[in-house]
Amino acid sequence: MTIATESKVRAVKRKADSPWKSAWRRFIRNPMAIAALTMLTVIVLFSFVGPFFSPYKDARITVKNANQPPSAEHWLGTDNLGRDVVLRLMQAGQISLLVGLMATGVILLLGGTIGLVSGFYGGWVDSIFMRFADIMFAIPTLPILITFGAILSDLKFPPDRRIYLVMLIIGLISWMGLSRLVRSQVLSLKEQEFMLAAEALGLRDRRKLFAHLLPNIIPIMIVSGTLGVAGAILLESALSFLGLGVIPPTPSWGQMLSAANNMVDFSKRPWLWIPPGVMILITVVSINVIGDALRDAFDPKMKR
Amino acid sequence: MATQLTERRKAEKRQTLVEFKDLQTIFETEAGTIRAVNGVSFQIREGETVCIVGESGSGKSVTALSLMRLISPPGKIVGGEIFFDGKDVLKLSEREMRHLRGNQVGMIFQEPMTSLNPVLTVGEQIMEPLMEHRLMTKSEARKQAIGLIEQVGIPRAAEIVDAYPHELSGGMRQRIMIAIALSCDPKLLIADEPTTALDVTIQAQILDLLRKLKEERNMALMLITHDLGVVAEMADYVIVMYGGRIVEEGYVLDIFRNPRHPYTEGLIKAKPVIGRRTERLYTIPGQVPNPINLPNHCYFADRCPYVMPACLERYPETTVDERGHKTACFRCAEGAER
Repeated sequence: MTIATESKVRAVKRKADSPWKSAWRRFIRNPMAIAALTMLTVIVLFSFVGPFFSPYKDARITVKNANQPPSAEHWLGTDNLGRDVVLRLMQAGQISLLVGLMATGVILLLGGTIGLVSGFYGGWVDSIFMRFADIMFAIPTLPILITFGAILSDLKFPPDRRIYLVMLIIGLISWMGLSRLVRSQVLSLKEQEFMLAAEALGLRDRRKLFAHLLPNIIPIMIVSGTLGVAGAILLESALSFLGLGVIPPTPSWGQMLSAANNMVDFSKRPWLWIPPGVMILITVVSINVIGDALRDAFDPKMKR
Repeated sequence: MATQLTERRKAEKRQTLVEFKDLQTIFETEAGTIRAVNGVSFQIREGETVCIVGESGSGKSVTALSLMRLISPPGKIVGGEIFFDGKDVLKLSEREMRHLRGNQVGMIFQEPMTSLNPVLTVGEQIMEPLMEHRLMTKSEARKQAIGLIEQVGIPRAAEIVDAYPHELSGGMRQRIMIAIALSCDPKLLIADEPTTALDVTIQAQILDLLRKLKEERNMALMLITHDLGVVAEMADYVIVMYGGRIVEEGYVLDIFRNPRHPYTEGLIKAKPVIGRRTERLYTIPGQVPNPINLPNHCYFADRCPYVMPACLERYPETTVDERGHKTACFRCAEGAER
């Protein structure tokens, strides 16, 4: 009896659980999510910390070592310029992950803002933004990317900066999905009684938008942002594969694939294209799993 | 009777706080124009409790929302004036209006479950109007919020301030709603069916709380309800609405002792009386009129037991008796005995 009362007292004293905390608790209870998160952490560490442990980090291009198969010295062999593939993979990972992350940042900022504003204000603001989104949706992605790539090459944009532009472009052509999602969410939230109550308190628009609407929308932004990272990594790979993304010597996983894009490498030197392919696959799959797990964690109907 | 009269004289000396003058609010729907509020005029004096009674769809809530100017399209206020503290609310700029909402007029809603934002702590939600209208800093507002939570009768205020709405019961949430509405010391509190969603014991507590807070702050209360029990307990003055019009208004005792409009009479008859058990409770026969294409005669004529030829010709004018009891019915106009 005393034990029961005591535990009740403790339950009452426990600090209030914010919706974020309970979502997090649901998330870490999902074994798939933990596996994917571990996988992703390993990849991030591999890309960002790995290079410090590579004996080849200061190595110059040595053509006489070119195209060696995997061995004790070069675990995944060397490429056509004699560079260690493991090290290339790490450096490429940095670029690919960064592009994925930054492009997603652009998507969240653009799509989130546009969705929030057009859902909240409605009327002609809404019409203009949403028709613009429709137009962007209607243009096929690849032709636009190829056009952009061609323009960039023509403009002689400095190759080392090109990576930032790639992030921006990926962001600019993929914000529409998120903005529609956010807009529809805002539209349904606006009909909730608590928004009428906020209105009756005479709060200014800024507070209604950022204090009342945004926190309710952040879960879907996190979920769709996570999935967006995967999409951006894939898009960057596609771009680089087409020679429109990052430019050698800057490596990215897609760019490594593209470098191995010939019959000889394809049939004789699988160590050049299998590893980056596998890295893209693992990264994208783990991010997608995490995104799904987050969606489940944030969904109040999943509450157990 | 004498005390009642002195009370009334005292009440009449009070200043008018809100005055509705021939308010017209419509909703343009595809099926036609709904005249939700159709020429409503009444006053609320400082510190007075005015109850607005009527069936669903009689225009009670729309009247209140018109005062807050929170009618959203397809709704529109098309005519009339609403004075609050001497200013015409309908002519205020959006900025002045925002200053009125939450600051001078507080409002609580029917559903405490959905009227609080689920992702903000109750403390944050009480602090918001304080920071908005009273320009308080976060820490001042927080202190004030804890005080308010205590005032609405929730123990352990210092802990509850950090709780999320889903951790509280319905009654507690409604108390929090009251705390939010009262945070800036409004002159008028609009309570739109504040107890409908609560169970009976909690209802009584919330009504007690409202009455106590109202007296402490000398605040006027506009209470919208369809529960005549609540009216009897709370009201100084009663407004009975039907089909978007006021059919009868008067001091609470006059209304209960001497209802003049057949609709009010029906409402009072339909209330169960303790100790008198009948086969069936009385119901007013017929249906609420379709709000689109309301007839140009008395809206209640189809359901009225005393219907006369005049009732089917035009809408009756409002007549006032010497006690200030207003009724829109031909029977009163003719001084008919019942």
